[in-house]
Amino acid sequence: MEEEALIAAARQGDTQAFDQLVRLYQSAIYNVAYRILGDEEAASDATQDAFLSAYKAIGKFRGGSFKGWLLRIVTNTCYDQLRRKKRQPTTSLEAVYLDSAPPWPENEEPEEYALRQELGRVIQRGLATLPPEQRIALVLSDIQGLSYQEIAEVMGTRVGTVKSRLSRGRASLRDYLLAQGELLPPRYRLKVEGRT
Amino acid sequence: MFKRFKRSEHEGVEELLSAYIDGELSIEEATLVEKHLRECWACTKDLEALRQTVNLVRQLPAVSPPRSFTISHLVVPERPWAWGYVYLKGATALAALLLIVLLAGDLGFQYLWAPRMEIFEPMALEATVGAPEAEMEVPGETPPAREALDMEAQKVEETPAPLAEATPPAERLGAALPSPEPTPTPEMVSAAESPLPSPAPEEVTYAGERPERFSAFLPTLRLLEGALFGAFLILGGATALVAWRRMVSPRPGKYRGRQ
Repeated sequence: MEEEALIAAARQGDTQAFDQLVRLYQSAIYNVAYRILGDEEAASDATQDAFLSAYKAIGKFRGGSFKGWLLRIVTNTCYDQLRRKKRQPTTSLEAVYLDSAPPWPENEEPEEYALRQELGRVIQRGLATLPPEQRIALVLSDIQGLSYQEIAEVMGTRVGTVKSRLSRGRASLRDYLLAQGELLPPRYRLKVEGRT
Repeated sequence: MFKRFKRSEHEGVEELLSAYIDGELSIEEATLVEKHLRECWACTKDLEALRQTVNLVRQLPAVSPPRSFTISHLVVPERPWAWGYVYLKGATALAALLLIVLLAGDLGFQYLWAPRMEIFEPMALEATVGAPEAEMEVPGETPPAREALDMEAQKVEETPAPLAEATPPAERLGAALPSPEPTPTPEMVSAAESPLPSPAPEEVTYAGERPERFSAFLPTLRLLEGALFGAFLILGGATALVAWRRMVSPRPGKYRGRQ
């Protein structure tokens, strides 16, 4: 398998081989860091730190999911950043609007595109209200698509803890979006009859 | 038709909704939840809102990284021979250090300590060469104990010179006191000088043996110095060779994949 060959070469000190791995996973890793930390600069720092740490620690990788191993490293890096700077992921509108937007796909109407962007911003603000553990569990589950077991391995905890964090995080985000009902684009507004 | 539930039951079901969406509940738990949902309108709406939330997050657009995060330009690739090189350098330095210590001790003895022995006996040497008059002047200056010391030292220093054959210093140790060599005998010297107390054997032999002991070591010492110097040359050469190779060839990438 090509990835195994790259990892083996990287273990020998081949930085070019490791960079191939970086290019394979940097989008996923950056997205996780971005959704956890909430701004581009912090996410860039965390992503670069994570890949550097991964290169230096490649000798300790014992097989299994390399992506999972990378996710664990970036998650810990994000934890460190949050603790060190006691930083709240930015909720300021300015920072959210200045961040780089995904490229505009050709087959999408401008209104659709704008709505998607707005949705992204609202959800990001909602994520920022969650405590770090719940936010990380939610990002790993619903943005990265990891199973409960995989999340437990990345976060270094038990499946039961993952279930509980995910449950509380999702419920809080739901309540936040419901409360923002007036601000959400009509298409994406949560409609639940009888609930104010 | 609304059935009234205990608050605790609502809360219990609420906690399970997330896992229910993911299909992570046991059969018993799932059955419990579905039974409750059939009869509870509020929790059904909660579940629906929760599903929508999860779907919205899953549909979030991916953010593209603002730059590349490759690390080649950030780390210095390890050059070959890293481990061996360190030990080579260490071994070379150690050999050099030992060599210097030995040489220093060797030269130190030759130029510092040995001459001190001669200070005790500058005239004795001359006496054996054949200047008895000078010897006459000595008694007035040298204390008796030093004279006894002088005699033994004199024998060691003088034997190589007057003797045609080379006597190993070790033999001199055995023949320290009664000397058959044609050197001025202690009686002759003592007769010419003021009466001497009988030399304390321990004092004399100890003082006399020190230079003799060192002379016993001399060939071994020379051998050791030579060996160390040779080792230093070899190690130093190897270190220089490895250093040159490390400098000349940057580490080639072992992976020959697409660039």
